Amino acid sequence: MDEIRDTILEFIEREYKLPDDVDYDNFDYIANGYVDSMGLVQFVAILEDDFDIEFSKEELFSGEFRTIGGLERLIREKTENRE
Amino acid sequence: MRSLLADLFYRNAGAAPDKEAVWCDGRSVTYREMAELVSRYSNLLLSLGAAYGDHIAIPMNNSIESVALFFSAADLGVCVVPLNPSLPPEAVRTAMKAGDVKHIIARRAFFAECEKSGGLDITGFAISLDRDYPGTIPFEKIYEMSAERPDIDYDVNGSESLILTMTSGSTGTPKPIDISQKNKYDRSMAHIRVYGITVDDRILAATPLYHSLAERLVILPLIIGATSVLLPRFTPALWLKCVEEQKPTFTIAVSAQLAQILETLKQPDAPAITSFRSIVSSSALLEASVKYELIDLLKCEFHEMYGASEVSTVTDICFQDSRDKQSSVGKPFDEAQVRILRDESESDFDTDCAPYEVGEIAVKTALQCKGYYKQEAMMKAAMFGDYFRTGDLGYLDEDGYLYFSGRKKELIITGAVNVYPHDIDVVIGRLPEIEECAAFSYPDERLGEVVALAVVEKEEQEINVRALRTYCARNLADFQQPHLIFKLDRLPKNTMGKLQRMAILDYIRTSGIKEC
Repeated sequence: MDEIRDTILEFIEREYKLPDDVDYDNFDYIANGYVDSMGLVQFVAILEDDFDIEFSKEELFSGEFRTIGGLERLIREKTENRE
Repeated sequence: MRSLLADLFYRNAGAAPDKEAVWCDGRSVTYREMAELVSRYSNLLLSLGAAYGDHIAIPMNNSIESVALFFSAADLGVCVVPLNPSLPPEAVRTAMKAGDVKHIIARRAFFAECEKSGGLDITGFAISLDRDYPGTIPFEKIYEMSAERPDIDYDVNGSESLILTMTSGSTGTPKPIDISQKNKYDRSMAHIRVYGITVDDRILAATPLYHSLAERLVILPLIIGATSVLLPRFTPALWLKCVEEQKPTFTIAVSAQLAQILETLKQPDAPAITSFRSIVSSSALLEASVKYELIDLLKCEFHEMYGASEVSTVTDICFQDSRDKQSSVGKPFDEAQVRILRDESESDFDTDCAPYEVGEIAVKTALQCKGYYKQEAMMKAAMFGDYFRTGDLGYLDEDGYLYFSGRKKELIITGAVNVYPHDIDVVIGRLPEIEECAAFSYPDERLGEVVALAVVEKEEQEINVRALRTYCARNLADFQQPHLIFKLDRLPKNTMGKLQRMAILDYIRTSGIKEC
């Protein structure tokens, strides 16, 4: 696991551990209640600060943002583009 | 009798060992298995040195183990201090100090987060629920423990604190609501009577276990031999899936959840829900249209209740039985009496309002909590004689039905979670570029209300909104996060200079101030 996935999982698993057989790429952590609408505000701010990036409104509402794999890709692209 | 709640639970386990006791997150345990788990938990706590009257904090999630801890605590006469797992370390430390916490049970990530900012002041044991963490005992040790109920050489009379519920606590003085085992028993019995709950019921709890509502909904079935269905995480779709599969017959839901569930229920592919015989809506008034559509779709008895953690449920109304009182929250439970108090500044002596006159709802009830733990003065200030001042506004009609009109105290209720805006003001007010700030309630379709923040910049200083959001994320709990931030030139105040929090929304709207 790398830093991006670690940071994502640290927040998502704050209350509940993900199932052992979880498919990280496609697991919708919002639909499965791991982050609710109150937690989402905090989650976004922490990710933006940790990785020095900014999500657009479209990105926040995209399907990609809702899965662990998708979010990981999104953050990786943004950090690489910045570099 | 050794322990009111644990004795009843163990008796039920003995009478129907193979009956399903608790379902949670795809896992189900029988009464026999649950009794073994409770006993193992008790043996674990005793082996680590837990003593009568000790306080154990736990950032609590909804799990079978959390339910077992309540019964284990009841059996041993120790007190559980459930915390919201999203509380930032500073708030955790404040809550633990206010709750005289000696031991802690938490997840590894929680210990790691607290360690980053100075650690926790624990004089007793620390148990790590998941992975190993230095200085903690792994929860797995529970499986080395005996599954026999332990013998103890002292009495548990039921008046001891069983649960301390934290109502506020990022800063300042938290108000730990002190609930004894006897309180929990009396509250359960009152609900069993009013809602006709039986051993055949499957009772759904779909709110967090660190709130009194879900605690009631998991303790109640296990002391009468019914089944508890515990939803770990709430989304409307997960709730519907759970209901479709687990077929609960009774629940008390919070109104913000019901409004979201209705939206999902109206989708063309939504399952037909037929298992409920009765649903109770709590926490805030449900919109009439939502209520009627839910009654139509769920085809069961539909109740609305009014209450507060300090006094449990005060009133109840069944809508099918009270067609002419549709906007009321009902009549008091047998245990409770309601008065409507006129504002003291208008009258020194005759403080009861006339029918239909709005005043503060005050309640005298046999279900009242023990008080605010070690905050006697705060509890005294909340009382009017034997009546607890709820901080809510309402009126009674000539038949004694209560109507809820709004809130007197400054409180934001977001998705049924009580947020004390002053806690947020204090944390954000520490930022050097802020002249003054105030959190306030902003209407929201999904959550009923969300937290909004009004900030006034110091002269020649500018607030960086992104930095402000990051600061909030790091220093406030998830339910305290401002969803909207507004920059104002001043905060609305009265002639005495007192903040008029309830007027901020109007001020923003009339001034045409846009969200940052």
